[in-house]
Amino acid sequence: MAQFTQNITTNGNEGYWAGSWFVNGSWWQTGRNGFGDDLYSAGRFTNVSVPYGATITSAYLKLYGYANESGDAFTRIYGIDEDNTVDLTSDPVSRPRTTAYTQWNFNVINLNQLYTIDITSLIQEIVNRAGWGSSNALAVIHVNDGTPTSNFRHFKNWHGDSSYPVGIEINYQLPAHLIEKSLTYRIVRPQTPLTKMLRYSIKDMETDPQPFSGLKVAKAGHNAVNAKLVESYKFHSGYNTLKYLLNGTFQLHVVNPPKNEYNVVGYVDHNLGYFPFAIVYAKDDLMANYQPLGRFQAGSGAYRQFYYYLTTTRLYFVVTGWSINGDDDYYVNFYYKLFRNNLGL
Amino acid sequence: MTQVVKVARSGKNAQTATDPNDFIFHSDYNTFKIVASGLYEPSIPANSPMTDYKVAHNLERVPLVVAFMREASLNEVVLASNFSPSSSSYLEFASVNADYTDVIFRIKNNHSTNAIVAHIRYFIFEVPL
Repeated sequence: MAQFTQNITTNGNEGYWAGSWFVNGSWWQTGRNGFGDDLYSAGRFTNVSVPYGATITSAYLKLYGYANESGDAFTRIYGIDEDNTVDLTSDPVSRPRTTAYTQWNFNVINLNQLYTIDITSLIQEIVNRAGWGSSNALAVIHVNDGTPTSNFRHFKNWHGDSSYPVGIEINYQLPAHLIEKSLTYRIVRPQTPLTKMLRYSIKDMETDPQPFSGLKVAKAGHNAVNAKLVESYKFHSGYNTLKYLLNGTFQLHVVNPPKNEYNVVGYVDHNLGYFPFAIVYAKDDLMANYQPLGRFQAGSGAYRQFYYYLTTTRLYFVVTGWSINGDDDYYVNFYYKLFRNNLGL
Repeated sequence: MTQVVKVARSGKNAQTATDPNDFIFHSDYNTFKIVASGLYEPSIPANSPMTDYKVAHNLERVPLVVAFMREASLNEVVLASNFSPSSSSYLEFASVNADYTDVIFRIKNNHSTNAIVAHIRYFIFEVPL
């Protein structure tokens, strides 16, 4: 069993709507105000260290009462149904929501009292998303569901009172493929200390393989029906792969650059509208072979560095160097591969 | 008879093609599987020296990692150990590596007064047996 807990204590990760969206607002509120507005609040948790496919044994949203209030309130809590939801600087109301939700109806709220709301099902739905990965961000939204007018309710948050932040607690079991890796590690590293051996053994006992639906192609000598290591497969639909877009070459000609430090920049278009995964190799007249970038310095006495960077429409190539006389004349060849995988940055 | 699963690229014949690059998928060849990926967004303090920032990967082995970073306020992304020539760039993303417990990002902030958020997307790949 493992646990993830976090309180929201950063800007851009909590807010509420009351006529307009107030990111970093000083409380969490829901219900319906005197104008008949349905109020809602949202909170985002980052670097959530729950791996894809984990079994959520329990999950709780934690709220502290803002004041002594009473009156019927009918609300729902949904998850934001995204792989890695962005911050809450903009109103999140139109983001897709999980099918699962928690119905939370209440009446009396007391000042500084902790309210622990079970959100297990909606957290499970998020970590079951194919694009979910450990350390992604998730968010929940707390909306009205029929509260009478003027029964709006407040809870504390970090921006209003740093002693009573909004929090989350997720208790989970590792998915079977990660547990199996622990077992393998134990076998191939027999010098592992006994304490670690015991820890892995405990994890092994927690193994509870989930039913599989998808496509698996096992390597020779491995059984696709019951092999659990990802390395046992040539293909496994439970794991993403790099999706190839295109490759090509590009040449930059450095000729009579400015004296001292210079940059020569070129680009190719990809026009994907997002930042894609890319790998680039480079070679100049001083190098015997192409080498991957990374910061790479070429030449003996001729100070040159080759780089690349990405925008949402282009892949840029950069040669930077230092010319004493401004009479340099050489070519740098780049070889690139672009993939469709969206970095989500 | 050996059985294979092959998916050819558009314009290629799955029954006759022999070049691995003619296939989108071919069961004779391993795929480079992404075991996990994540977003990590540390705030790098102003004028900070090169510092290691860590994220637990829960794999209990040393994985193969690749990471890209976008500096807050810039619309450019760099692979670890690359850089942007933009004069508005202050972060240096020197490297990404991993040990048995963590993915480790080495970052420096050259801005004299402002902390800057580094938006990092990292990928953990299969290490073939």
